[in-house]
Amino acid sequence: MSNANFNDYVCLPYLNIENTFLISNYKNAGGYSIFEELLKDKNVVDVREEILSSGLYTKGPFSKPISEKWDKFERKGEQEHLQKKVLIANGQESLSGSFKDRYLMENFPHQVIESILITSFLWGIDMAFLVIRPEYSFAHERMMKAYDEAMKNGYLGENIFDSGYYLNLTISLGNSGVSSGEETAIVNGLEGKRSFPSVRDLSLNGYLNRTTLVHNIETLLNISWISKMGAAAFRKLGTINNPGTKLISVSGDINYPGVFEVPLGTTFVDILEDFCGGSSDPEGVQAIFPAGVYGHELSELDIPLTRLSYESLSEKGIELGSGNLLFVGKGRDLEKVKEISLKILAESSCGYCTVCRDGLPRFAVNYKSLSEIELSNTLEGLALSGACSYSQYPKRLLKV
Amino acid sequence: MEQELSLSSSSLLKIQNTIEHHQFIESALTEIFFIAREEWKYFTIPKIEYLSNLLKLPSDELMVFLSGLSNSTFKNSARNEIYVCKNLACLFKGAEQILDFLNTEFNLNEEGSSPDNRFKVQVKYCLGQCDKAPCIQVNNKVEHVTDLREVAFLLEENP
Repeated sequence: MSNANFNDYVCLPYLNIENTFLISNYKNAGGYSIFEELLKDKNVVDVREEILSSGLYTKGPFSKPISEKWDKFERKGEQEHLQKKVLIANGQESLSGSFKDRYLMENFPHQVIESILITSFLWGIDMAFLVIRPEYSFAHERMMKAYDEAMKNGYLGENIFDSGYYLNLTISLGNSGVSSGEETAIVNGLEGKRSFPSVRDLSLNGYLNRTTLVHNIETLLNISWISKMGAAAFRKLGTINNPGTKLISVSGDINYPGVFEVPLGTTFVDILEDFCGGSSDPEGVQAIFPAGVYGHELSELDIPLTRLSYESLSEKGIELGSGNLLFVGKGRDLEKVKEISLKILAESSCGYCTVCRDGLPRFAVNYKSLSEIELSNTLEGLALSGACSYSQYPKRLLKV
Repeated sequence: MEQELSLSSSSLLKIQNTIEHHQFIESALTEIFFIAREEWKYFTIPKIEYLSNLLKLPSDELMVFLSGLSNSTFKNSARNEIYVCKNLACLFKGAEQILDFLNTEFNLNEEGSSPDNRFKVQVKYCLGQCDKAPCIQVNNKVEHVTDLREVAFLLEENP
């Protein structure tokens, strides 16, 4: 009997249950039941259709409808030589200011494993990886313990509960650095190559030439929830165009930094007051960077008028990113914050592509001396370069 | 010299356990290099060749992989590596003061090393612990620090 709260939470239904990092507590709270039901009763094609019709967006920094990713994966997977598929759960979370996946792995490791099992089962995948950022040593430790428990209890390995289904899950450490969290960089790293991004279609030429699906952990938890509760229940949360919830990692000038799950469409005022305990700056907040250093800021005037949703933010030309919200108090110089952000972007380039490696540091030093047209052209040029999306961030941040 | 070129039995056991967990050895390389680095602190060509023999992988492929791996060094710079997070959340909560404190306390040179080779201090732009800002990484462990005394206390544990 489940005592988890699936009605209010998509990612954190086990939030108020103690020690669900232990398999006994997780199972007592109803854990692994979604997977067990799926294994016994449900038609995977129907469940996949249900998820596709839910309006779910992937939860990474370049969020898109899940159908875009799955259509490609399914189409390529139909080709005979690509029928062996791989799932990679992206726990790299290397974007500065984001720590929601770390929180999930540290506190709900069995839920992470169950979500990997569910997505793998839905696609008939027999090989999966969970790649964890190397700084997350505690999350890695927790995940390895949970893996051992899941193996002992028959949730992983061969012939799971006599269903004939088999999943080989490997928990692996990735590399540090923002670009190392990019999909192709993760696959390169797992293959024993430098974990740098490359121009590579993972649905055609993924891990060891298999067709490969990469989702971050939050997206996998959303898939699990929808496979249990259905698309209609998912659409009751959030807004009409952006259903569901979003995990946010909040930091900066607030009283309670941390990870919270909020329905999409929640106002930023509610997030600040109800979740973050208000501003730690006595004068209040002057701006919020919804995507941290990787996107434009929401000004003080816009804060009461804007909701946390892809739709509401994009009307103002602002990105939500992976929900790494940074609050900036009135006591700080906003221009200085942007200057530092550009420096962070320049310093964090992996250095694989010349324009990004050499262009970003020069740009970070000289951008103030450029005219508006020069600035716009330079940002456009930077955004078009490179094997990954990294060089687009300055354009998002400065938005000229 | 001989001693330097081999790994301790505990490190070898950790490497063996890691390999057993992975279906293919290539996906275990990051962890294996981290285990080796924890003991050796830095890499040399003979050390790479030692790992090449141990893992039965070409040394040039290992070199290429290692060259892209963060925090890996071919220089014997210091006994302990300290990374100070300078992401905005940590900067807001005093990362600069931590860096200033370390500079003054340990008389760091331009490369961030202390004269006695005890510490090498470097900057990172996010350790993924912004809810616990400010943070520093001491060798492989990320630590949340509330004040400078705590920084000093943490470093005392690493001679």
